Amino acid sequence: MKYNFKTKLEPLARGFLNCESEYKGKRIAAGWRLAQAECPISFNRDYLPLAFRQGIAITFDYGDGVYCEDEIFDQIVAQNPDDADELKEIRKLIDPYLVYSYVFKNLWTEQQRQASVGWLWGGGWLGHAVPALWDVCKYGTASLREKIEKYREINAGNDDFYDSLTYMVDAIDLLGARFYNLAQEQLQTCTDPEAIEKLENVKRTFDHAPQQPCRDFVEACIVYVMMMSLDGIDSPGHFDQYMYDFWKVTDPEQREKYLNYIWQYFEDTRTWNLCLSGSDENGNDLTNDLTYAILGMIRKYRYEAPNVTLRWHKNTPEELMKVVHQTLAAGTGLPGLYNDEVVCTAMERLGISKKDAHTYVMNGCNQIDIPGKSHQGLEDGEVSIGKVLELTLHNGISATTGSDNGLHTGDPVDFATFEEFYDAFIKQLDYAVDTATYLSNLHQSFDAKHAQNPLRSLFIEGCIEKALDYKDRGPIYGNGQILAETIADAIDSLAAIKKYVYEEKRYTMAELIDALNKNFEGYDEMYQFLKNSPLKFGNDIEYVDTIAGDVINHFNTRLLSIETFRGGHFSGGCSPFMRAADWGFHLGALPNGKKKGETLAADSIGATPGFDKNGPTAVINSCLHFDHTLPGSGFVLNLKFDKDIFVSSAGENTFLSLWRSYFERGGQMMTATVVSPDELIDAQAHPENHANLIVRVGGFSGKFVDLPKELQDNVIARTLHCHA
Amino acid sequence: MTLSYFNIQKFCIHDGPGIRTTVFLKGCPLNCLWCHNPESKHTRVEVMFHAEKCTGCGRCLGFCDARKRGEDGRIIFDRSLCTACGKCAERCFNHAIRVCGKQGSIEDILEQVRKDKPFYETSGGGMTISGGEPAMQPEAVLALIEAAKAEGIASAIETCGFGNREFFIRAHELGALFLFDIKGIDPEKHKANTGVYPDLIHKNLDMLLEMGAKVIIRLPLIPGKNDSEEDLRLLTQFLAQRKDRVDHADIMAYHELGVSKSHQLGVDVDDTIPAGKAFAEGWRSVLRESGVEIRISGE
Repeated sequence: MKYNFKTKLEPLARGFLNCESEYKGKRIAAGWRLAQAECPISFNRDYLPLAFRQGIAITFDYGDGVYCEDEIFDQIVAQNPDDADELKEIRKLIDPYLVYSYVFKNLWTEQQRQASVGWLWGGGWLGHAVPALWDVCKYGTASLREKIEKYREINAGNDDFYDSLTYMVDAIDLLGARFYNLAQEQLQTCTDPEAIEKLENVKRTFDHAPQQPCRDFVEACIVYVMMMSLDGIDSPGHFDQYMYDFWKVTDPEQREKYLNYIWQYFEDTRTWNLCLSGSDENGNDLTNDLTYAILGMIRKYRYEAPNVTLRWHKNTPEELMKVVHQTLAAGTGLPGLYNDEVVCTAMERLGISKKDAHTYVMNGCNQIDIPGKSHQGLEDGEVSIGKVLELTLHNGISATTGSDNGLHTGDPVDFATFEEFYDAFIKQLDYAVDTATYLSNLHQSFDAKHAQNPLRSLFIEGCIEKALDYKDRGPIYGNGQILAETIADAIDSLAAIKKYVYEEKRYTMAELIDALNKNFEGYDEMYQFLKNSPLKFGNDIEYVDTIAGDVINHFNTRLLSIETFRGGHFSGGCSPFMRAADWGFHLGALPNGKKKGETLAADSIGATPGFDKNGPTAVINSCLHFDHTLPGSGFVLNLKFDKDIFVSSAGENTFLSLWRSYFERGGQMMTATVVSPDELIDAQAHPENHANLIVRVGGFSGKFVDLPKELQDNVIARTLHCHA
Repeated sequence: MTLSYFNIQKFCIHDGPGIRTTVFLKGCPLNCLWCHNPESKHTRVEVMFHAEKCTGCGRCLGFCDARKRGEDGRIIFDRSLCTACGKCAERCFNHAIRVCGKQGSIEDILEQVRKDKPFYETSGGGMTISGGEPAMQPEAVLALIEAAKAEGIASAIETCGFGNREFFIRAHELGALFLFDIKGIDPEKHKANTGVYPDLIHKNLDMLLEMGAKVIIRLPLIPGKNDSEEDLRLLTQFLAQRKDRVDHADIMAYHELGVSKSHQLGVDVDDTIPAGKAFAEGWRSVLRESGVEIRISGE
């Protein structure tokens, strides 16, 4: 013992500081283990076991490593005056080991300089993964210990690393024992028959688990939740697959109950992303009755989290597709749809075996991951393609801040042809990609030394075998992911420059740049003209879509050529969703007729909202100009449907046809939003943003914004009624 | 050969089976009091002016006499002086002025239609030729159907039935599906409502049914105009006589969408007709007695 602390508070920090190893991973594991022994534990409302994070400020998280929640720390200090001095001492001692200490010290300056103008970032957080936590349910920790000892012998001389793993197994076992005792204790005073039943379930589970495998779905849910809360709640992976053996052998009434309990837990904790169905490497369909049970439950109880994605392939049963349509009609936007035929090809491009490629799941918002085998970054960075265009127009200077962020690609006024302009844009884009990946790799190399995750090293294949931590090139697959944002803004702007500056010579480049610099002040004619130009991505216009394909295929291909520190390659993707507005906010005025700071950017690979005017088939045709087998991170198209159309007798055939046509022709991912009344109200107030919203009036489908006000009111009232 | 049309709309799902692209032609021999596509009545190019969207910016002024600024500052549009040159529409960024109608070759139209062919294949859809009235431009419409057929695209024709029988026979021979409007039975009432007697329409329908053509009967029902007890009784009888040859009939309940468009065209229109949706179930319960399956479009 290095320090003789008297306080019983902050066990993770004490465990860390008192471990004298040189290897930080082992110190983290020591702290973590002590935290499991000493932190308060509890059950949630359904008596599912919650581990770890209670009552401490210095803690560990997969996204942040060891970190201190300073507000909570101050509260703890204030509430425990006797321990205050010692706590402050602990805080000071642990500080150099907190992840943000090295981040700020070592690379935050450059990171911030690039990120603050809304151009790009790389590295900066530790990323999602899908560790095979279900292995504890399936095999028990006793088998894990055997595996650790086997490899300790094979890779002799790595005792610190293997100790870190053993400590984590200790922590899991400790937790199991404590939950057994807690259930026992609560049973002595509990009188509610339902609670007694649940507590008995906990007791019988931890009677033999986690050391030994679970025996049914009830036990597997209980152990899995404990593991999730220990890991810090990420994405549960291919739930209908690894749970199916348990599901099969469990009493139908019991398993339905626990399926709801675990979903309630997922929703409460805003668990990220869970995956259903799909195909194996031989093209066999993986759908089972648990798949249907989950979709039925989401439809019935309208669970909004976790994000559920469903893997489609050419042998997906028609029946399942119909159930998906009904589930989406419930209005929660779930499930999202992924295409095995495309994703697996994208994975194989990244050096992932065909068999492993077919185990892919979704993680985070919508990023592709290989469960139990990879650290794919998730995500390692983002590049705003619209900002790249803006920098090209201003010779590398950010128009919104005046700061010198990009490459000096020349003053566009001097470019005689569109080809010259386009070359400069591509150089700027390459520079952005190179900067983001450089920053990410720099970060990855720091993480390897400072942000070990001994728990994930246990559950991600390759780490135990190679004696390398999850953050230090342990996992079999170590690819990276950089996402593209504001794609449509860049494409539409390039099309406008090509057509109106170089071909039609309607404006000179000098005029255009002057107008952009003045945010179109005094250039109303130009602003209106560019904004209303029909040359916008998402309308099935070859002229525009060809540019789109060229730019994004280039971006994705370049990423594939760059290696990650983790021992793989980068790949691209696009899934901005709620963050779209942030990226839009940082853009200066652009040649597609957008003013500075308008927050409206595309929420997917599709059109800028309001710029697509020809319905979903046109959007789909435009998006198929991208090669979807290149972006290995997830390449999302979000389509919106009016609820009345979606649930009408024609709705099912319509949706299934769009889905099938998009995927059979090479689309990677699709989400369907069934439109809410809120959106209709916004469409009434801001029709320019909703040109493509199709609603049903009588027997006819029409564009919402073209309807007279009274009819719009009518549709809104009706939709509100549908939602009531 | 060219067609006079005013719109090609993608992703139509209520104009026949599956996902469809609908070509809206200009020109119609009928003059229905309730017309929901008033911009399709005339073959000539027309200018639509949406006064609510006009901001009075004045960019449309100064190169013709049809547009002037009124004393209240608003833009006044004198249709009698308009040559439909379209210059004003080009300059209007608020979409308040729209030129409606253009000439296109078969290839011009097919170029748009074929883009969604993959969706027709997965949904059982195709092209719908609507109007206006396809039978008003028979040769060009038949050429369009034939050219589409050669590319494996199925066609449907949305028709009021008032046209040359030869057109319907040839369209049937090319495999077209007919979405055939029946707007009333009583001859005088039909004349008052639509401007024509229904004999030819009913004859054409019977001829198509006799030939075994693919026909979906559509029943535009307009509150107060063609939905009286007597109207429905006659309609039920009409359907009952044809029940063995008709798969189903769609009720097209009146909606007010056409009113605003009529105003934009400067055309007087009866704007007092209530929406029909609320009556649809009642109509259906009467018409069902014909023995023909009655659907309400859009449900």
